[in-house]
Amino acid sequence: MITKQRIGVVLLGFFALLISTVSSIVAGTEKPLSITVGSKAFTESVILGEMLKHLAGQTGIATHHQRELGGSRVLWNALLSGEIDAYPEYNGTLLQEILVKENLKTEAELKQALTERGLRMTTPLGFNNTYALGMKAELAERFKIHTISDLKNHPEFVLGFSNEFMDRADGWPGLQQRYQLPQKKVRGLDHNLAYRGINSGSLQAIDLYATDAEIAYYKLRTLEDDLNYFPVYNAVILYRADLEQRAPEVVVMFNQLAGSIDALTMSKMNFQVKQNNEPESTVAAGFLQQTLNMDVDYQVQTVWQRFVKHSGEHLLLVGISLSAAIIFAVPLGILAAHNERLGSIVLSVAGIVQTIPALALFVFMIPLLGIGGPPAIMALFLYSLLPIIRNTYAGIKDIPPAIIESAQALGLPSRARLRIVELPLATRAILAGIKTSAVINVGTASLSALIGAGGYGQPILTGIRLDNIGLILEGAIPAAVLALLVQALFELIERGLLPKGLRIKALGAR
Amino acid sequence: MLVISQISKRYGDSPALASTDLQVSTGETLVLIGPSGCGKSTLLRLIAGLIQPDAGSITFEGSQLSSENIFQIRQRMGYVIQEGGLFPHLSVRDNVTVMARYLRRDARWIDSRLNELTQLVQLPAEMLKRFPAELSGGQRQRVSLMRALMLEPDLLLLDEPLGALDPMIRYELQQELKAIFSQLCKTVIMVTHDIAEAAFFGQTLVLMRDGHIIQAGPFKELAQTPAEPFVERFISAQREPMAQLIEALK
Repeated sequence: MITKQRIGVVLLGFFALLISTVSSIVAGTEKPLSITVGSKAFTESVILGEMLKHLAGQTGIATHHQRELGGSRVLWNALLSGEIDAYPEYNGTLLQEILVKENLKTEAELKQALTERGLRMTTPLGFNNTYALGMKAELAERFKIHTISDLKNHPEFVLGFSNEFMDRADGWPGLQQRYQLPQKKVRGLDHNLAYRGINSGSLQAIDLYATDAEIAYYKLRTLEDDLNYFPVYNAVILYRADLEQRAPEVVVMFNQLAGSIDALTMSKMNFQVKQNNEPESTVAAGFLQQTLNMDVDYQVQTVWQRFVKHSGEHLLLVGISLSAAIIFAVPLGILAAHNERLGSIVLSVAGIVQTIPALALFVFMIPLLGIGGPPAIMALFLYSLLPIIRNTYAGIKDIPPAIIESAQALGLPSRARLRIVELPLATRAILAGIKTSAVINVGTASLSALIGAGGYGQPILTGIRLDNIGLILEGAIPAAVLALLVQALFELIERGLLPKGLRIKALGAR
Repeated sequence: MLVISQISKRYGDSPALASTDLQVSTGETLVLIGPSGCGKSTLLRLIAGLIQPDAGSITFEGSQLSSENIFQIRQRMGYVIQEGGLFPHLSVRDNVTVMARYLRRDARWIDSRLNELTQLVQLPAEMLKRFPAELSGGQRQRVSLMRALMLEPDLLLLDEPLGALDPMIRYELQQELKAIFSQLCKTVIMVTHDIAEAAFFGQTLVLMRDGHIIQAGPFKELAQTPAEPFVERFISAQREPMAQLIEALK
């Protein structure tokens, strides 16, 4: 009994320490002046994000880059709430997607709409990352083709389009109509196959994004959209208006990028990252050096440094969320076991939370808690509740009635009964629930990277983006090992905490 | 010492115990007997305060059982159930002394009391370290009895204490139990469905059926002047096989 109480005291102390650590970390983010830039979960955005980081860093202000935060909506909301100060965006995305309800027509209207929200954007960086048609540069040169209109003279060409482009009204059907294109051999196929097809000569033109890495790799020419069919997706830097007061020198730096990156340069940078596996940081620094003659002092993390960083983040996410889940779920389970009506409510609410897909739960947390650690911890906490509640409930409910009755007949009041009889007998079930939660938690924590909380999900996410198995394994293997370690840890704890009399029974049953 | 007046209990729609009166005097050994579902266990559980009556009252040594005083009163009652109800995670010693330790009784008192009880129920001292899973059925019931007697209760309640034991051990324990009862001079209420066991232990037998007390009195009275044909049938149902057995051995 005494040793168990001591363990309880130690655990409590541990939780208190954890909570104080977290609050100090959270409080620590309110530092004097630091800049946070964000990027979306694709290579081009990450490269541009690194550029912003380098540029802001030139002013001597501490700068942080929240990489691969997710889609446009996540970045937009993070910017509005001030969790990030700037991120690379496309004016087309603003007009057609984020502010589509405003039905904005002109650049001036867009600027006005942004100002109303306390935001600013730079003049375009110089490239338009929209749909485009591409041909082998050599072939285009031979037939003197520069614009999409020039294709009208070549009805014999075979065109290959991604399935999405084939089907969308604003894809091929609209394009054919606008330009009156005569080609009859039009194939829908996978984008990667299309690049191979055009390289081997079986296709003469394909659809692509204007800054695809493959444009540089396969030496393609993008045909000019001379009838302005495709919407414009000019890259800009979006930043908070208050940055002009807080750090005007940073805004000056950002504006240096305006008009300095053309589509081919961007394509080459994408190529360096995707095909040559160069770190985004290096590529961005190289560009700044070449174009703006800027010496950037930057560090590329080694595999080991990344491992340590991701492990720290992952452990913090799991440690806090799981500890909090244990603190809440065990009492809830006890309450549920002792009060039928309350029990059914608690169990069904926890059950409903569990049916929310993990990814959705993470995204739901963003409007409530923003991006980064706190929303991820909240989502993981909610996700860890049910197994512990249910096992605690079942562990207490499964105690034979004769034993409960004996405890009552002895005259033990209900709190003493809980402490002396019910909890020790439910130990095995409760620990099994915590173990299940811990393993689920370690796995699910990998999703935290999607909302900027880092952890082992970060290399997995980057690895998927770059199609780099090595990077994926850099996150997947430690995550799996951690899950096993956590399981082993709880088995050890079980050995220490499980009453001896119950272990004997387990042996006898074998 | 125990006055039960007009007590009744229903489970849902089915009455488990009709309005019942019963008095038990100090030092008496009273046996509740009857077929399964007759309400004998319900009556015992009502006395122990494990369930609440729908109507009527139970008065123990002058004070009426209520939710306020039940924890105090339970310490003056010992309770033993069929499978013993021992806590599997506690050693024999801890099982027996759990309530005394909860009440912070003096450690020396606990030790000497434990010693007395070990001798009383003839449990080898080395068994005290063991866990219930390591004991035989008979040993478990001895420990259960020790636990019930630990705080020197005035009233001992036994719900089919020997029901789960095989016949040899059961016989042996019956003898011992009777010796213990006479040694302790305690008031005992025991539930059984075995008429021989009831006759062996009980000064007073209370025969029940369908939630009613049919007849109460010494075994001889029940056998010789049955209040109802049922009493005769109940006694002979268990006596006949024995008589045939004796006949066959002649």
